[in-house]
Amino acid sequence: MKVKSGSRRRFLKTGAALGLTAGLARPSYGQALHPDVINVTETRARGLLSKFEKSERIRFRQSNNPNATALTPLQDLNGIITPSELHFVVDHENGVLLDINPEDYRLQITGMVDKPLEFTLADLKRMPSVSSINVLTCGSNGSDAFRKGAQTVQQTHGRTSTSEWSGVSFKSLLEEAGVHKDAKWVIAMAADPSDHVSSFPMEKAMDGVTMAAYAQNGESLRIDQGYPVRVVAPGYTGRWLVKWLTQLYVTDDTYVTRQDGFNMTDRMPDGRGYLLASEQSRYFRLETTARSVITFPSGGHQLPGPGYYEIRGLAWTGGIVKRVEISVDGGETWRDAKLQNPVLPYCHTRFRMDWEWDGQERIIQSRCTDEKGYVQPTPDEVASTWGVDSSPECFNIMGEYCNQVPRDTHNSFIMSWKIAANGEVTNPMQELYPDGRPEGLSHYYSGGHAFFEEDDH
Amino acid sequence: MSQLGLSQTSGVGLGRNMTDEEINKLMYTIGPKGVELPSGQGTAREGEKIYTQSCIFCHGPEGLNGPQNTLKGSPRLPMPTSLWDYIHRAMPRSLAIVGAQERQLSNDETYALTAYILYINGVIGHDEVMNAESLLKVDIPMEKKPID
Repeated sequence: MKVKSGSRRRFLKTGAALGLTAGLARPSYGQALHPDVINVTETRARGLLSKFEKSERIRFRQSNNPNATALTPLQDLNGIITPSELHFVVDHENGVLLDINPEDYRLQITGMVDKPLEFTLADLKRMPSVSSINVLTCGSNGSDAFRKGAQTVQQTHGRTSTSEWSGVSFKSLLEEAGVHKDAKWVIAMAADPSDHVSSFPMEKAMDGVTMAAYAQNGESLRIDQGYPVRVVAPGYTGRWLVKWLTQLYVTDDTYVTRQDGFNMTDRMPDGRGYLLASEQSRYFRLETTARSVITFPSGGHQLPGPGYYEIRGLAWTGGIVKRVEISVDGGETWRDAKLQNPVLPYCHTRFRMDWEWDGQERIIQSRCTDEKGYVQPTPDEVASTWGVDSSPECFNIMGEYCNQVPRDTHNSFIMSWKIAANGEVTNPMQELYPDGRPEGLSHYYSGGHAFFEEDDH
Repeated sequence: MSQLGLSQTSGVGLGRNMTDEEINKLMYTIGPKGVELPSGQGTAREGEKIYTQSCIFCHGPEGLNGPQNTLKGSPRLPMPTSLWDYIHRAMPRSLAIVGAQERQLSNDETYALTAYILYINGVIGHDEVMNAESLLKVDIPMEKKPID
C-alpha cells in the first residue's frame, strides 16, 4: 500500500514535469479545482468561512431550557484551541442572554476589604494584565455517553473547550482593595438572570492567574461567554466560572450558596449525598479530574477500510497531563500515545498514535494520567469508588441543569468507541452497560442539610 | 498612594471608592452564620399566599409538578440561610430585572417564602415565625428521602 502511493506521487511529479497533464484546469497542482468565485467588492470585516465548512455547535438533550446548551464539535477540530464561536455554552438563563453595554459595566469588590472599590471596564483594562491558555469543562461533560441517542463525541463530550483568556487577576483586584487578614473565601457574583454565584478559597483567588477575563483568543468575550467580563479559574470546572461577573465579595467562611451547596460535593460510594449536599457527601470538589476522549475515530465516522489511521484525541485535567495511553482491544492492553506540543497545565492536550487497522471489530479507548499519578478510571472503577448517578429519577428531578449535580468525578470515566468490521464507528457505552450504568450499585437518596464540621478543604 | 507610584501598598491606585450607601445595597449575601440576615419576619401561612401569586406558575402546587425545579422533597439547599439567600437574590425569576441590584422580594416576603418551603418539606410548622434568630435554629432533617 505504502509503496503503491509513493510510486503514484512520483509518477504525478514526473508527468507534470513532462507536460503530460494537458486538459487539467490547474496543471501545476496536478488536479482540477473548478472553484466557485466570490466577487470581492468591499473590505471583508471578518474572515469568511467557506460554504463547504459545516462545523457548528449543536444541542443534544431536550429540556425546558432548550437554548441553554451548545456543544463544541470536537470531531472537527485540530490542535488544542477552540475557536471562540465554537466554544461550548451551558447557560441557566431560560432563554435570556445579556448584552451589557461596556460603558455601563461595573465590577465591585466588597466584604472584608479595607477599601470597597468599584471598577469600570476601562479600569480593568488599565490594570496589570494576565493571560492564560485554559480548558473550560462543564462538570457534566461525558455524562451523556450513556444517554440514548448519543452517537458523536460532540454529543457525549462537547462541553469542553480551550481558549487563551486574558484579563486582570483576582489577586490584583483584591490587593487593590486590601483583603483583611482573616478573610478566607471570595464569592463571585454575576448579573445573569439566574444570579449565578460561586465561592473560591482565598488561596485560589490569590494564585495570580484566576482572573476577571475580558478577552478570549485575543478579542473581547463572545456574548455567551459572559461579555464583557467572566471568571476564569485554571483547573476548576465550569460551574465556578461565572459569566457577566459583577461582584467579588470577600468573606471569612464558606457561604454555601445555592449553587455551591450541591456542586462542591461528590457522592459517597453507595450513592448518598447525590441530590443534596449533606454531611454524607464528600467536600470539596473544585477541580477537574483527569479526562480524555478519542476524537478520531469517534462516533459517526466511517473508516473506508483497513490500513493506516492516526488515532487522535484530547486529554485534560485540573493540573497537567503527564501521559495518555490508548487501547485498541477494549482495555486489555495499552500503548503510550504521543503528546503533541504544546503540553500546558489546565489545558487541552492533543494526543495521537499511529495505528494500522486490521479490519476486525475493535473497541478503542484512551486514558489520561495526571501529574499526581491519578489515572482516568473505567466506568466500573468510577462506580465502585464514587457511586453512580444515572437513574431516571435523578434526571427527572435534575433535568438539564448539569451544574446542579455533583457528578464531576463520575463523568471522567474512560470512553469507548466501537469500530465495526465494516468501518462504522459508534458509541457502545449502552451496549457495554445495558442499564445505562455500571451494575452492582444501589441508589440511595439522602435528604438533609450540610454543615461544614471542619473548615478543612 | 505615592505620587511616584512607589507606594507601600500593593495596588496601582485604580478603582473608585464606594460609598456606604452603595455598599449597603450590596449586602444581600447571607452566610451560614446568618450574621447578615436582615430584620423582618414571616410564616409559612403568609408565604403560601405569596407563593400562590408569584411562584406556583413555575414550581407547581406545593412545589411539585411545575415546569421548573421541584421544591418539595428535594430540598437542594443545604442550609436555611442558603434558601433565604437564593430566594431573595434570584426569585421570582419571571420578574427578574436582568442585572438589577434591586431585589424583587421584601425581607418579610423572603422570610415568609423561606418558611413556606421549609413547611412543605415538613421541617417547620405552618405558623412558626421565621426571622433572623429562628431561621438559624432550623435543622433540616438528614434522613428525609426526597423521592422514593
